[in-house]
Amino acid sequence: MTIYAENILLCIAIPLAVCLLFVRGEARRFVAAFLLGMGMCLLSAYISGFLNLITGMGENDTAIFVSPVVEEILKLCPLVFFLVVFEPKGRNLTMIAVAIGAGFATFENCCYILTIGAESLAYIMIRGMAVGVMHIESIFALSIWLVLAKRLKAFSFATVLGSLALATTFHAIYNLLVSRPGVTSVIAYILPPFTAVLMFFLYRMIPKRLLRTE
Amino acid sequence: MSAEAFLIFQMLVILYALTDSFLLLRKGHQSIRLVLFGFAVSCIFLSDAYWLIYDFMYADEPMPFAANEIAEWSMFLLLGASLTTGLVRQRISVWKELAGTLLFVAGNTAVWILASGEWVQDILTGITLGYLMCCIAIRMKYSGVYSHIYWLIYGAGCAIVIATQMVCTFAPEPVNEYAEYGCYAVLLTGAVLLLVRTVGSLMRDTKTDRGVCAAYSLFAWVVISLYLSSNFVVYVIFFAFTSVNILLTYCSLKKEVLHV
Repeated sequence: MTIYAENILLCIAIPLAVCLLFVRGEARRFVAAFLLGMGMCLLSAYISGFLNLITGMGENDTAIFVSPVVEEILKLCPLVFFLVVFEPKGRNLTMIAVAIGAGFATFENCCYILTIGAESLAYIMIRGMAVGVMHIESIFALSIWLVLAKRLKAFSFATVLGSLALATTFHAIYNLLVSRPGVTSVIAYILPPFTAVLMFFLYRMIPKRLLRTE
Repeated sequence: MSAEAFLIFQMLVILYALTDSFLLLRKGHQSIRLVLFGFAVSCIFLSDAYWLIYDFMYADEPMPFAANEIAEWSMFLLLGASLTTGLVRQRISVWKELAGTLLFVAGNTAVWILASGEWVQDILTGITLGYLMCCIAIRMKYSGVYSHIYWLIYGAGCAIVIATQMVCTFAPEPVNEYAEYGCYAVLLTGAVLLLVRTVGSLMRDTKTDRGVCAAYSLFAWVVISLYLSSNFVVYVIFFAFTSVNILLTYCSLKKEVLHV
């Protein structure tokens, strides 16, 4: 089934863009980053489609092997831009990261639901808990690492690429596991919520002074 | 033992190193080098997990695109950063050592390209591994714990490896096989000597620099050996070396952190 992703994006983005006129401060930043996340999702779909055409890999292989790299790079770009240009406080950066991840996951889920239908509530719940959580936690972990690197004066190309590699490989593992039905898919669906809980406790264990950028 | 068992062993070693370094950081021994090392080995861990899952799910199918390769490149960059972050710049000329290192890496990259034909991946691997090896050379030179004779031995070992690999690639039939076995012998001897030196430095030396440099040199040597091994048994031996070396590298960094 053909879906018109640009039209869907416009439909969701217009009310949010109007929201930007009426909200201030952190709420405005969150909504803007959410919109940016949705835009990045559309852009990553374009790039993955283009790579599929020029490499001739096939849609399935592109989705499993190439998409994680493209998606994580595109999610990282606005975050690094925001960090380098505006030098925000640690808390603001993580909020922006979460909003980008949430926007990305929301738009991806919208397109997915329109393609396959939303009849099975159980499957939709699993999809939301798995992909939705995975996109948010990968970019959240990425932002924490960037804040830490900045705070410890180790912010460099190596550290940015390192954080990107962790997010990309985690995403690639998820896509690989989910690519075939059966036990591996079940493991894939459990992986993001499990990692989210683990990350929550690890985040609490990091001394708070390290998460404050100057 | 199958290849998967070695992957699992390496993942367990990394888990130990990660847990112990996290506990060390929690105890107040804050070291950016340890943090960078932790992230570097996390990259190896995820890359291993990716391979393991792929082997389990698509055992007989070639991988169309290795999404985990980016983890290997960043692992090299992070390990390089973990060596040189916070290093005080000295007025010592390192251009000879860096030139030799870059020549060695360029030679290796040429051999990989000739063997696999994957230009982009091999060049990117060469650049990132070159960065790590340059960081090792700078740290070794700055620490001043290596005499002139050691540099000559390292240089000779590297030159022999490149020469034998060129013979393997261009020489006709029985000669290239002998050259390949000769190359494996040089790589294995180098790895064993570096391993002995690393363990010796860790157990006896009070100078922490020597242990760190030896462990990282062993890592770079073993990675080069892994990439040059087409024989499965030799590959597995070097893979086991890598796992042990991760532990030794962690121990050397831990010693450095506790010493400070």
